[in-house]
Amino acid sequence: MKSDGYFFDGQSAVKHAVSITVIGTEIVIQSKTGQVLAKWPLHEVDLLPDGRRDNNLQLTNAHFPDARLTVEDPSLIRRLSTLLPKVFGKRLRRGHIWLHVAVTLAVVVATATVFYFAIPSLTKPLAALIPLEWERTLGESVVTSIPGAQNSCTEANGARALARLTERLTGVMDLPYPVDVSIAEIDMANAFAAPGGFIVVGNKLIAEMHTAEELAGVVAHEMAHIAERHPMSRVVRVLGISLLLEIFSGGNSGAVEAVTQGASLLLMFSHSRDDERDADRIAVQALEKAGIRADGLSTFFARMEEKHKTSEDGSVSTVLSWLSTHPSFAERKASTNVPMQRKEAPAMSSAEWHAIGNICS
Amino acid sequence: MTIPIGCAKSLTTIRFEHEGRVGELLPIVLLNALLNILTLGFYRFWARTRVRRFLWGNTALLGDRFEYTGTGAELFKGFIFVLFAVLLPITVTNIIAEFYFADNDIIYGVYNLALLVAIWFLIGVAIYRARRFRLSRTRWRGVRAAQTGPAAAYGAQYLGFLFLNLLTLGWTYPLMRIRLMSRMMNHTWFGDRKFEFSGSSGPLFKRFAIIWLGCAAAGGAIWLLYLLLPETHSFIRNPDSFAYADPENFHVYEFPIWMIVVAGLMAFVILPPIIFCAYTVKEFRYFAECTTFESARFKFNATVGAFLWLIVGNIVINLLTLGLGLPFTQMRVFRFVCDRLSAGGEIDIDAIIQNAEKRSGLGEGLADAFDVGAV
Repeated sequence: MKSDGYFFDGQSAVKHAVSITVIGTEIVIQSKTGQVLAKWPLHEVDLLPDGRRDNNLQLTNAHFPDARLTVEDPSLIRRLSTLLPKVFGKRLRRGHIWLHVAVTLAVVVATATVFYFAIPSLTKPLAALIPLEWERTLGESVVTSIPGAQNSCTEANGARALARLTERLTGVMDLPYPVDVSIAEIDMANAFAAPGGFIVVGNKLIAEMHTAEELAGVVAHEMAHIAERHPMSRVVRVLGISLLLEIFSGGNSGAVEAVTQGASLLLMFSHSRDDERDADRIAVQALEKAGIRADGLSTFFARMEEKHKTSEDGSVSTVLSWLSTHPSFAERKASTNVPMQRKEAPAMSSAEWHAIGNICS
Repeated sequence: MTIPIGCAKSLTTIRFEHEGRVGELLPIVLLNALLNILTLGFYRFWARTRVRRFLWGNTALLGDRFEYTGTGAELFKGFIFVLFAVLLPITVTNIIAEFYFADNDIIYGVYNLALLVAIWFLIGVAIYRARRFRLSRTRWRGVRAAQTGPAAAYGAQYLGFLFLNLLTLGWTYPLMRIRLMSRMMNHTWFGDRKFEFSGSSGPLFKRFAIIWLGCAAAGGAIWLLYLLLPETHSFIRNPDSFAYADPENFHVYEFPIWMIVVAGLMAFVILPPIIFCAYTVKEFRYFAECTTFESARFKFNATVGAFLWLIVGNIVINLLTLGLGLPFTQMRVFRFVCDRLSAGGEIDIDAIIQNAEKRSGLGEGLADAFDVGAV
């Protein structure tokens, strides 16, 4: 009797040379001596993963998952492929690779979307859990890490004017804890809010401002960050995202790691831009509530836009905007540009504004 | 290869064969790379499974292929388990400890030390569990392999030897390797038959001692050179210009920076592992000699040169492919081992019966977390 293939019964390591016949709806496996070793109903037969090779087919049985049948007879292989269309269709088609890719992509996009929208609502409560003492310690180290930020300017008249502005804004804001607003000689024309309520406005930024309303806008913006607990949320978010990605992407190749880190940066930038939009919106509301002219921010952004034109037509490319921690000046100018209300007054007297200008002297 | 079916009793030499081809592995690697990048590495469990199926399936013994029956989902479940049982608790404790204790707090130091010990222990556990998982998913002729014994015992032994190695400046390393290997092999099964391993560290010590003393001598020589050459000091002070002027006769010694960098790399990064290969090969050969299955004894015909070629080639492949070519390096390892490993003696293969032992459902999550997986 010729041999059609080999059979391993799953009980022992004996290799049986067998003849294989399909009788009705069963595969009958017989040894050389004609002894029936097994009868496999066709619906129980399954193809092993990678079980299809050049000249043989490796099958198993759903009820005897340890048993293996290797079919080597080409005509029998053809016959089985017509008898078992479901089993063969499942793993033989080349097209399934692209299905695989498409399904994976869909899962990735869905997960990423959920993540993107879930992260902000997760980080804020988490940030609120952190004791204020820790937050202040962290904030102090942030302030210390920026050269000059600790040395706040203390000229008496200027300090009084700043304190009055701070007080007016504090009254209308929903702050979790008191803020500490100062003007300091830092090396950049910028202002920042650190965890624990430390707000520092650089004197170089003051020099860029034309009116007290612009200063009021900037201070309100930074206070809005504190009101929304953005600095702490940001710490939690950055830690969380990098930790999650570190854990999930695990011991992988350098190429995958690079892509992962790039993706996490884009995500962090995007959330940072959302924070800025929130802060701008809340700042304008607070200014209106406090009865201060609220157009300071938009006039300030308009001038910054002129100054930092990144291309000839003044627009920022989409790709570049994804790589920024802040929305474009054009967008921020437009979003903070609100109609004047009748009862709104200047942020401070011209004498006070003059004193602010000399606060660092 | 033709096999005398039913009378496989008196075999003289059994060889392993590996038939994997780069061309067949390439599509798998490319698809895995694409999906891994798209999912930021999350696809790795399925990618790894796919590669293992290829590597196992292309390895044959007596003409019959091995089979890897693990699934990506098993590896994924193992990962999730370890994520919640080990990684997250450690991370959360770490964050709290970081905030709660001052850096110079003695309790913080104790905590960090305890964490280090725990992680070393867990790495040992991970190595053992990973091997157990892989063996339990390995079949040949439909019969499963297995590894029994508690992983914690291996972890404890691993941890103990790490301490011992520190205390003895590495001199207990051969002993550690023998003991750990012995624990693994003596718990390794194919079907209902167990592997036996008996060896002592004695035969390994000579090679180890030569290499240890050689490295120490080389290190000492470099240190002496550093002390003797005044140029080195000026280099340390001013790394930009490596020049030294002797004020007496205005003689100027100059060494280009790249020379120093290359010499340093050679002395501390490249040469020691290469020299250590001479020990590793000796060790592998000895491990094979110490291993028996039924009455067959193993033999591993590896030379230091061939092993070096394997290691250096794999490093180059990994560097050039940014790590995406890892499966190719694994295939090279499989081929290296199969080409050189053989067993001589009698095995009554037909008498081997399937072991009824239950399989663990969780994949090697710890090994994934601590990056100890070999394949």
